[in-house]
Amino acid sequence: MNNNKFKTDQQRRNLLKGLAVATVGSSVMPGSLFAAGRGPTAVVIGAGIAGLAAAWSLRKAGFQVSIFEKEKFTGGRMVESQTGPLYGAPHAEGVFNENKEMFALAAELGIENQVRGEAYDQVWNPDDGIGLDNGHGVYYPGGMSDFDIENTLKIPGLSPETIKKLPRLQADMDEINATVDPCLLETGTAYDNESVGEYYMRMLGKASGKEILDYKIEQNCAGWGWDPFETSKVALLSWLASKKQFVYPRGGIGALTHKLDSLLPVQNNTTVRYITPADSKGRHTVHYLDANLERRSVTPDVVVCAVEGKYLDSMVQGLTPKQEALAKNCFFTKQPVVYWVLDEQHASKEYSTGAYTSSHPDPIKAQTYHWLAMPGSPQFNQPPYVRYSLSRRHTPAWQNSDMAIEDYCWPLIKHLYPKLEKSHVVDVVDHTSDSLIYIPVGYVNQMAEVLREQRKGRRGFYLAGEYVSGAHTGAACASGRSVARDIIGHWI
Amino acid sequence: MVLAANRIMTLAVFFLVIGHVVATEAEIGEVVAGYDVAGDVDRDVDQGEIFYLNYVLPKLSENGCLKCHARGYIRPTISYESMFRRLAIGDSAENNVVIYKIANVRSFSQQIPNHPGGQRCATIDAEPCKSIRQWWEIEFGLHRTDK
Repeated sequence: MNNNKFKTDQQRRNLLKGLAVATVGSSVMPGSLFAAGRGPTAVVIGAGIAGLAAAWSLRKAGFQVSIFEKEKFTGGRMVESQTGPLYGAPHAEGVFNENKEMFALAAELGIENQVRGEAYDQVWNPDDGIGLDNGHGVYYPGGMSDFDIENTLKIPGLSPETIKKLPRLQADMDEINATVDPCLLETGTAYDNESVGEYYMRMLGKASGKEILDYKIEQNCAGWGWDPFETSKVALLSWLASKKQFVYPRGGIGALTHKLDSLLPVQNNTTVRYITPADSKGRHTVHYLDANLERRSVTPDVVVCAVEGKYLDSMVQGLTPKQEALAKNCFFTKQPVVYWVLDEQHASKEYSTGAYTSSHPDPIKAQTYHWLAMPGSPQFNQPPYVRYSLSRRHTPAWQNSDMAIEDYCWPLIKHLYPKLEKSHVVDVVDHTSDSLIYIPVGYVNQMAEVLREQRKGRRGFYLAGEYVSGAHTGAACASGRSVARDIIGHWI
Repeated sequence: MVLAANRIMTLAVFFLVIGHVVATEAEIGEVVAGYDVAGDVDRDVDQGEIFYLNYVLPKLSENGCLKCHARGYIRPTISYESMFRRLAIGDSAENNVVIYKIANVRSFSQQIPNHPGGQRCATIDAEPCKSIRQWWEIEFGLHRTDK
């Protein structure tokens, strides 16, 4: 293994960052922000939007902050990166206009215009010709954060009984919209008492509830990777009730994280191994591998753990019983996606696509969440490709098949897009990944209890991230800023 | 004269930029150096990496991991460095991210395995988990003074 390469990369990166800080720091930043030797010390673990937002607030308040990030890039899911031949976002694609904290942060940094963008209703967009086929017809079920009853009534195949019952949901939507912030789900503990599936069944009856779940709610849940009968109703209904637009930021999904990366001391390729329980002074020691894989440790005044929640249980020693219960309940959704990259000669001449409900009568379409054939897009550095997303309901069948995702999905995409031939494929990109956090029934109450506990008074260890706020980048950002306010209140 | 002035300007810009860089580097360094940094010991490259390449990697291959991870687009890739960083997260041979993922130890429900590629170890004592646990002992076990 070549350690020199890592050292060189790190040196080059630090040099570039130094230049950026020197340039930007003198014109935009408050003079005291980078003053060393003053204020409490803080290590923020994780340079996703939660960690960066927390670090930025702490730095402004006078903390000396270091940020550890295990990946070579900064930004977590909220960044564009190259995955093999494809350029795109690791996960997040856009932001909701409901993300008040995110836009406030962008405004502080002078890039609000870059983070705002044109409305784009993810996946199901009539302007792009992406309709959903439920076997009764093609329709547009509305966006990721929209349960518009008038639009829902247009779904083909709804029974008269369902059409009659649908308006009774409006009162709940109005109440949730008025009381719950979808970016800080601790505000919705009162609604964390049943699953999304149970809610629709209770409100509409078994037959009508199943229709709405099959034709509308499953598709929204699939966007998050959730099972409606596992997911707390507040996690989804808080978004559906808000009716906020989903937008693609003008500056790209990484506009905010790139800016923060240029202003903050992020140490990439730095892997935290474990964090010890508090010592007699209430301080925790962080044991980590630096960019050269050398073992180091550091004992700051404050540790902010803004990693993905799934790492908590392995990484943190001496969790409180409430934190431990939350950590054991942190799981991430899986999104099986595969891209076949085509040679230019056999590229699709035009955009073609299909999306189906899991209850579709065609058994192959029922296994398909979404497929897409794209001509090349040189302006986005994208070669021509065909993309296939397996339905969430059918994911376990693949996981138990012992087949690579591309082999499992090949006959399915061939059925839907017969022009695809193996001889036209120049590369395959498996984009299957951990996606967003599950929010099962009871989880929102658990996260609220953890937050209440950590707000009680000064401590050396704080949790921040989507696993204590909600499953979206907007929630992660809001959590980082909210937790930083708590820390500043305790320490400054 | 023009040449000298240009050279002075170049030097001035050079010192201005480098001066800023050095100051910023120093500040960034100070944030970490100011803490109780300790345990800075060279890792045991030979033993750990050789064991990984000779014993762990073949077991990963035999158990189907390379169907997905060999392509290089799915993290972690199966390089030593990439896997070592995951092995390091946690504090024992049975409590680390590689074992949790590969053995599917934690799962939301049986229908939704924790690892997208499903369960790769029949038990924690079966391969490839057995070799991975041995690898952890070599890298971080009690015999290591810098554990």
